[in-house]
Amino acid sequence: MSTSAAADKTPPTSTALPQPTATPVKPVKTASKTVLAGFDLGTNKSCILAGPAGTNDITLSKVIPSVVGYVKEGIVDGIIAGNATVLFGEDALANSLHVDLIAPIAEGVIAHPHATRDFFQRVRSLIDPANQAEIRIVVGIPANADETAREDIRQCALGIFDRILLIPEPFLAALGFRDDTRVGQPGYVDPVTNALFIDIGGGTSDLCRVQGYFPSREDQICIPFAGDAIDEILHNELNRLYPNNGLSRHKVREIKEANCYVGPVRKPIDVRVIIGGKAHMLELGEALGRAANTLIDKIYPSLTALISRASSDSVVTLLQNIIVTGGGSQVKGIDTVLQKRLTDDGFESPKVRLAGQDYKRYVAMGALKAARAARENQWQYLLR
Amino acid sequence: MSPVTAEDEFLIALTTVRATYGTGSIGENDLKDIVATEESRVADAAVLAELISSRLAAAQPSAATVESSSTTHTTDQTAPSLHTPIPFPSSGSTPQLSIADLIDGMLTQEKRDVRTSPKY
Repeated sequence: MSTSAAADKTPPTSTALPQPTATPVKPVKTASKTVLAGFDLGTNKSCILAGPAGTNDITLSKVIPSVVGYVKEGIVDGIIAGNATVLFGEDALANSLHVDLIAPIAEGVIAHPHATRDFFQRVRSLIDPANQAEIRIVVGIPANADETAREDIRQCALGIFDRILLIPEPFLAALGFRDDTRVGQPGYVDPVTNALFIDIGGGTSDLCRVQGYFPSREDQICIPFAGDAIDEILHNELNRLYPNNGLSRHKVREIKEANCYVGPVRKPIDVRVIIGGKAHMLELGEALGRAANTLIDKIYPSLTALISRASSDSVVTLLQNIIVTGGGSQVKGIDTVLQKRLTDDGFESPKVRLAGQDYKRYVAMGALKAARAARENQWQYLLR
Repeated sequence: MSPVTAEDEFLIALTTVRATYGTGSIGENDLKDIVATEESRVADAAVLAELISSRLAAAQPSAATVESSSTTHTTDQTAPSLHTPIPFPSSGSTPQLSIADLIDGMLTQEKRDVRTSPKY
């Protein structure tokens, strides 16, 4: 059972948040050691990697569902281990009957500040259980996060982490995907030099052209359509096909993650579910395909827009390096379908690839690389 | 002919078992358990690789040794293998593109955006 220091406290209201500082101010506390962390703050899942500064060690590598569970009033002692009042991640989901589940993030930005602060506190306790180190953290943010969204993260991180850097997620995915051992080797194309990343998360799909410099706004497109939107379409479709099915959004997401595909309709896809205590087999081939193909329709115009903005000198290599990452990369056939559409539309020998099974960690990996490479003057201080 | 993937092998094995013992011999929940267990093992292995890789990389005496160890790489020319050390840049490494310079570019861009954004 996971709890944190926050577990014994009433969640602070957003108005009670301490104010961050925009100008560098020395932290009050002087810690004896510094831990660097890369944090992919996802809508549904977050990933944290951390290790001591000045080393290459990774002492923490963890994927946590981005959810906080506040234990309901009147729960009998002993039902929740340790009588914790706040649970996180898997523990919160496992006790969903006894807690109010709050997702701190919606569409890539903070939706519930106090739940986010509790979640950050939990992350801090994982990074530094003794609560004695200075924590410098690089946090991935959606490509189009505006200053308000950034400030919300800083506000929530205030007093929990010591220094922070906010960097767009698709760029971090490129850094994380980069195999540093092979940079400079013949045949290895450095993805940071010329690639197009499609990072499909829960709340947003971020597309980013990475061409050897920090991507400008013109190099990035963020679409508020991703895994959660597919869940919603699928859920509506299920309710239409099988009224009163009683399936939760969480269950619908499980069904999607196990069976989702794009491209021509695949039938039958029989899914076993429990409705009203009885097992039923639902045929969901068409519903799953329709829901997921909407994703293709949403991201394809942005993909072609970014390709068309590339210079004629770089576009051929760029087309060879289109990489799909994030949870959406697990949608069956997404690489094939995107590549076929590009080919059918006359693009020159496009190659769309999946980032691979470590897709959940690339953003955090890139964030940790950035944390380890950041210069002293690039960190923003957070007042403790 | 495309190589047989782990997914293909799993499907072949599943088809064989179901053909031999009947379609009900392995239920959806059993399959989900198997997949979840194996995914968890892969994730654990990846974490272990990350934890060990930096120590192995640090223990490498020279770049030539790193080169010779790259025979375990997959045929994919760009994706980092889970079995390959993924050392993070340290002050001793010399990546072609400096991440710190890229961050500088980001910070410059942010300052420009703040200056040009409308004031309310």
